[in-house]
Amino acid sequence: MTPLRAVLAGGLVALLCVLAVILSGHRLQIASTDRVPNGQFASIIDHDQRLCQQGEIVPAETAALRMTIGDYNKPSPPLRIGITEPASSPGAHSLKISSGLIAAGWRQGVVVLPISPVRHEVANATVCLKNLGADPVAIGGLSDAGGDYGLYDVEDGASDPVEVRIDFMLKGRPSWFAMLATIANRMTLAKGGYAGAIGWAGPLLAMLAIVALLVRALLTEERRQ
Amino acid sequence: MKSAFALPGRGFAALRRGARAVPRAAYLCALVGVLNAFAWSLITPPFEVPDENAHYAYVQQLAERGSLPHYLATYVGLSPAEDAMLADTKAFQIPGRPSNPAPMTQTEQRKIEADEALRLSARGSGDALSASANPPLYYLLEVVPYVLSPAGTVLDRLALMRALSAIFAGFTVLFVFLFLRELLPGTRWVWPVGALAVALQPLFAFISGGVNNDALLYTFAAALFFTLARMFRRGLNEWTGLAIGAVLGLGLLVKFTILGFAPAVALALLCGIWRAGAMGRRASLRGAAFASAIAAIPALLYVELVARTLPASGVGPGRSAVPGLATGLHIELERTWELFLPTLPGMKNWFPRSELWHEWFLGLIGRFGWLDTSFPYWVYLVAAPIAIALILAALAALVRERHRVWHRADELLVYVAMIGGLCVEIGVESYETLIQGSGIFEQPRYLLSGLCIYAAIVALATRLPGRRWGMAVGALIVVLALAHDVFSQVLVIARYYA
Repeated sequence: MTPLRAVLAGGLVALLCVLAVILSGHRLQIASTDRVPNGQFASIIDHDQRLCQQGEIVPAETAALRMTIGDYNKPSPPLRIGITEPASSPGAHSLKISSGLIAAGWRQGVVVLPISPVRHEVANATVCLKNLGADPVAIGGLSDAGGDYGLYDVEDGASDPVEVRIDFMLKGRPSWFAMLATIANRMTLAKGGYAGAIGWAGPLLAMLAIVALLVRALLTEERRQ
Repeated sequence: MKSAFALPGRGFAALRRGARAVPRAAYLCALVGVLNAFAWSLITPPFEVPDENAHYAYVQQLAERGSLPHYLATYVGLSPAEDAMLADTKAFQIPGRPSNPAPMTQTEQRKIEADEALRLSARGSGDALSASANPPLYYLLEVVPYVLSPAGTVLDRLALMRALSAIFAGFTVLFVFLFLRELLPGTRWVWPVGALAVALQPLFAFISGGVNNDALLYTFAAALFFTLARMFRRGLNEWTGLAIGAVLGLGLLVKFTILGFAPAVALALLCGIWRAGAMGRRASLRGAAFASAIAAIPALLYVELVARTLPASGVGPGRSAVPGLATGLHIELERTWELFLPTLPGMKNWFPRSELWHEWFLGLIGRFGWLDTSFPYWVYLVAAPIAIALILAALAALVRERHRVWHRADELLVYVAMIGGLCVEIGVESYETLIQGSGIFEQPRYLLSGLCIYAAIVALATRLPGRRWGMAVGALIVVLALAHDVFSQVLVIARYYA
């Protein structure tokens, strides 16, 4: 084997190995988000108050919410989460699709709040967070958002011009390998008919063809020498 | 008369002969460039290439109204169709916020499909935002996929327009290969290595995978390097002069940034006349005249258009729209220097950090999307010694062959002047942007007009160890470039889809 061939073969194998190591890594994975910036505390929920945010898209397989919550350096209170979807017919009650009860003692900052798994994607859902403790909590989001992100907030029945950041999280800490099919599917969305149809297969095939072409180009030159 | 008709015929015959003489490897490398940019075009979500909304609006204006766009001081939207897609794809919620992914739910997809089905008007306000003042050549070419898109929706048109940009990337790589062939004619094994390093450069592929006139600018910049290298190797005559002038002139119709190369081109033409000697003086003078005239014609024609499309900023020459900001030539020179080189004693520190490292090096290694997607910092620290080793190896190759380099010193000087001119051009635009209070101008993609020098550094470094080990070193560089590209794609996929 010539030095060039050895380097090519070794390099490509090494590249695949590093890719495999990266893909075997685990982390919290997002199912979707409302994309509201969370650079400030936008809303305060006092004792026994409830903040509801309407217009959320809650994806299937959501198993936790991730929010930015501050506790004013006081003992963090228990929180109750309820997610509902609009009633299918006028006059009927909205349907509960998920809920969660978060015990006191969570650490302020970016907090992951487990909920019961969501079975199917729900558009226009309402996500409610109730403070069951004695001390207030502050929620990260955008004050005076005015519906910029298509969301509408209500605090104890009164309209509130804030929008809070909610990330919808998948269960556990899946590996990148486990996420491949999900990510491949996401790569087909929001791209139109042509690019969407080959959203993941196109880049993959293009990169495989590139490897074949560059190997051929280099080996052709080697043979010429 | 006869000679006037014979000239184009001889030109096409020469082109055909030239195309046949191009090594097969050049076409393979070009295909790698097309495929890589095409892969990036599919990976990057719509409107997540810098200013893509503005460039799309320019093409839309040309295609729908048959007129150039004009800058509007107040934002009133682009067109109902484009505005709806910008909202549906969350185009304004994603840039600058790395934790905001692209749309990932079926509900968002259905909203896009529903709005596409509405067939909203594509006739807009005539505003193309930051692209309004650009020359029209790139956009005129992009009208073809825009019009030919059978679906006629914004996203499908955008996908086809991106595919055309990817084809331009292939031509860029082809010209880089041909440049290396002229530059280093005796060591053909380094040509594909340099060209592949460019084809796999992730920032180049990312920009060329989007709708952005920089994609075609890179092609003309590479073609200009090639035509100049060809002139140095084969002499200045009518044909080489014509080619240089045509490339520079058409390049000016793509983006004015190529004007930064004009002083170096003038220097190259003078070198060409000087090299021709008494025997070839007449042909070289005709060549220089051809180059100058042909480059000037499109530029002059466009002056009128620029005057009509440039925004009326209300800021006079040398005056600042930013209160309290000092202006002047010395400040412009200082800022330009500090954009690329360390601050010297006596200079005011215009930048809080080293731009060479933070803006240009880190950016060229990888800063994607709307400049909001970067590698972890350690990646750049790993990349730095590799880049330094390549540059040192290239310099060592030049020193080793200093006698041959000395005979081509004028050519080397022209390439240095081209990069210098590009830097000055960036510095001037950066300064103008500053005093107009329009934010920060500099972005690493602007350096990619010098891709031929990037390729030349790689090629020279590959040449240093000699043929047997040089080929292995070349293969190693190509594998590293491939890894750089693949991991950049992984980074971008993780940023937008996870």
